[in-house]
Amino acid sequence: MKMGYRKKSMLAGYAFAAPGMIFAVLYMGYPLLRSFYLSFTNYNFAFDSQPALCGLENYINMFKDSYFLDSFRNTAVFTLAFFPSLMILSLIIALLLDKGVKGSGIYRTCIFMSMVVPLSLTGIIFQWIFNNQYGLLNSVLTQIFGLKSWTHNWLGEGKWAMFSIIVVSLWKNMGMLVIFFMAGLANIPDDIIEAAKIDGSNSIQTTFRIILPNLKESYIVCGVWAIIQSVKVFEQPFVMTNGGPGTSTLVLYQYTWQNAFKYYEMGYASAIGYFMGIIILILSAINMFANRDKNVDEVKSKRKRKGVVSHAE
Amino acid sequence: MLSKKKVARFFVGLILALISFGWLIPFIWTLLTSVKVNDEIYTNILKFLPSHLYFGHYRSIFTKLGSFFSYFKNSVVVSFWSVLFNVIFAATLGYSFSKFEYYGKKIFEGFIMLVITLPYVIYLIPIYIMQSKMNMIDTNLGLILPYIATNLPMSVFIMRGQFNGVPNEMMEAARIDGANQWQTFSKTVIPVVKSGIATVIIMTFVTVWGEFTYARTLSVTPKSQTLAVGITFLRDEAASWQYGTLTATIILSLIPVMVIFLSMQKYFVKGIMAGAIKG
Repeated sequence: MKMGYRKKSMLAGYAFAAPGMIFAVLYMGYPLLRSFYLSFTNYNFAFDSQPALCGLENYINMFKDSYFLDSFRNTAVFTLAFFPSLMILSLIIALLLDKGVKGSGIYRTCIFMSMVVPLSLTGIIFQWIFNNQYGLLNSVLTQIFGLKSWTHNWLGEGKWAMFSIIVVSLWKNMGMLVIFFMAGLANIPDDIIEAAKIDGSNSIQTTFRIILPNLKESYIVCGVWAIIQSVKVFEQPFVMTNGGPGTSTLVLYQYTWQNAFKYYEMGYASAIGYFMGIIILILSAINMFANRDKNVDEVKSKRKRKGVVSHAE
Repeated sequence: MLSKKKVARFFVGLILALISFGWLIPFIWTLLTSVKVNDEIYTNILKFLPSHLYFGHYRSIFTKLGSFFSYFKNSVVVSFWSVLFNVIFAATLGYSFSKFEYYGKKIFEGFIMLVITLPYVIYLIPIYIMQSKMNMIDTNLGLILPYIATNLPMSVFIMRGQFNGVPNEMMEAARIDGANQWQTFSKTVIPVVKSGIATVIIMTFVTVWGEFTYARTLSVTPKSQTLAVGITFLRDEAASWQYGTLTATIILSLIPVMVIFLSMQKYFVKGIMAGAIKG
């Protein structure tokens, strides 16, 4: 008996996929379904032997829970401040690095280096820098710039605690987005930039008219990544302020974690986790829609109307 | 006379230099704090450089903080096994996605796409329940297994992109020479995607070395805690007034990732760039 080549190749495909897929299904696929089920149950892991179905109760109770509403608001505030500043700053740095001035290699290394510092340690380092009494930031403000009125108890005042967490997150996450944008910049064909130069456009015009509109793909990749980083912010507030002062830096992820592993309310925690997941998916979809490639669609639809069969398809 | 272009380039360089310096401040300040005597750490008079190099904080790690070495050992063990298996599985799965056609492949790929976007706490809850029923909480294995899985999606996308760049003719040629599927993969294809493998190794290592949420939940005593979690407990014990020792432990725990990153930066950046375009 001889198997056909096609069938043999399919078997090989499954065989190569098997070890990885088994792990992914066991540690992500099964948990994905399990916590979806748990989100519709009452299940306190410390007291209940079995989860008890309760319908949509968890999802409804959420919106009556003032801690949840606080953490939802704080996550929204963080996202609204962090997302645009991360996108804009990393795009600017990528554009500057793309100019290829002397020393760019060293500057790149400096900016990328923060990526490899564990987030929890980043938190401790910045806790020290933001320290009210002996911190570097307050000392520099008073003793070098003479701006005593600018000093704050950075992590002890609600508004400034959130600000500090945003600064830390920018320091830690910028490198990744700079690399993403650099990839997009490297992908723009040189000839269109050359053509613009020959037509007499200066470098600012080239940047705004040619380079930025041609980065659509990067906006999608960077956007999705930045959305995930914003909505699931956790370690920075957990390590630096533990949600405080009060609930001013309590975010959704930490509230989920607290419910699950401090109070063992697995059902309620799963529901909040899924709530977060849905928000990420909605924001990603909006981002994808906003950056969809309109020009290509027009060309394609024109081709279809004229009945031209493209060879690529 | 200076040309306009030269002036512009000078300013670009100046801005970049300032940003880079700003980015380095936390590193420099941590390092400086770790070699200062306590009187110079806790002072209201700003002084950047220590008056003399003091290594007492490093010494006190060795004499007082026994658990530091436990954390360090756990980080090394957990990182080593997670990275090893993650690379193997990412290579085979990425190869399968890139070079084979079979029923259900689209579903597999869609699944990998979906799990990467959702917050990982969703998986953590059932994993915690599962592991506490199997008595796997607070073991190194209990961290390694989830880490292999949670790092797979990113690594698979990088590897799939790499395999897409390998021409099919190469595999055909190997097959005509009589190699079976496994030999084709291990002897012909893998050597071509070496740089992709390097990227996956660095990425996974950096992620696992710094992972906090899973480690904080699935390990509860210094017996199995990793550095990223353990040091936050050291901070709580020290009542936050031991910044000298704390910064010294941070510096020591950063050395492995820094060495890997600085020596393999090229692969790191190139690999992510390739993934960002094809992904």
